[in-house]
Amino acid sequence: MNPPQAPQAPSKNSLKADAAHSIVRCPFCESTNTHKESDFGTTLAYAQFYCNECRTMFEWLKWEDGLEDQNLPKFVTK
Amino acid sequence: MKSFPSAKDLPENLREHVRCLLLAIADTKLLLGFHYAEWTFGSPALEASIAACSMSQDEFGHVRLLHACLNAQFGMSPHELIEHRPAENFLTVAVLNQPLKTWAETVAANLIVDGAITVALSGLRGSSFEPVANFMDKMIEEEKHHLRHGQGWFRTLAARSPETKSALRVASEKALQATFEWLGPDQQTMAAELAAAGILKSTWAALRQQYVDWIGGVSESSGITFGVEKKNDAYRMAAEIDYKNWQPHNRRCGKPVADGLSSVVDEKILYHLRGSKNAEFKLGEAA
Repeated sequence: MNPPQAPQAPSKNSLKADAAHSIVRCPFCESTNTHKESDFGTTLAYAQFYCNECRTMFEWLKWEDGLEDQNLPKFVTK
Repeated sequence: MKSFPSAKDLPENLREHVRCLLLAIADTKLLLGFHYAEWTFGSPALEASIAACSMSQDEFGHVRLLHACLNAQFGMSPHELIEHRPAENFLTVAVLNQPLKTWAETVAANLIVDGAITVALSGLRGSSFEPVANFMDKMIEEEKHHLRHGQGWFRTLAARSPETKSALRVASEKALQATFEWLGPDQQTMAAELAAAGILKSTWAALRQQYVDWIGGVSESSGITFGVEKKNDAYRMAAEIDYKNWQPHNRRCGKPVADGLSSVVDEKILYHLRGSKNAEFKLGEAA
């Protein structure tokens, strides 16, 4: 496994703009200072997150709490 | 309002409307799944390849759910639906009937076509037709990721070179015209009767307007104009489609609404989709 890299500033890439303001808790250090890297991960059920505290990538089951609906059309939000 | 535990509890007109609507959604998802799968390779980023592959799995999974419902409620076998229907009987959004040759075309389909199918699904959330109400929430939950992906890539490409923006605008115009053909007019007997029975939880006009509002917002914030305009603080189609000959059973206006689009699924796509090259190895086929 590669050593952890230095923390990076939040990406300005608009691919990630819709995924801002994560409230997902890191499973390794329990920090909520995390952000979503991708809606799609190693399997269909997982999104990929990055912990800005312990600098670790982790996966998150999509239908657990924490994935926000902001910037999505009203017809998919309850 | 009365609910319908199964298709046999529906009056005949509603039974046929539900069957047609579910089949049209399933067919379009089948083709979306095919195109996403093709873009597992050749996309501009590894992340996009993973996303395309995942979205394909989602769509094929949704097709299986819808086919199971069509089979149990309407006696339409999944095998027959995929293997033995003539190409002209697939009720797809026409922009999917030929290969999506560029990433701009794929992003346009991801945003515009996938979004339209999802707005139709949202109309079935809490439906009085119980067999579909059961799985709609889960399906829409998965579609959220598709729409995030479509929006993200659309905005990314919209911020690129003039050539990229132009390709995206052309692809989006074509996808939107085909999508509006599939959606059909605001006022239509089929949707009105489904809404009156609580099978659709919104009027078709309200669903279409939610879709137009969303597409209009993405278009405006991205600076790419493609067929939706804002007037008196509301979005609407820039040019109305001539729905005079629109038929709810095939969701077509009679002739293609955009240049270069076929009303019929390309036979090469069906050949690959059906796995015809390996027909001798198919499960359940006579040796």
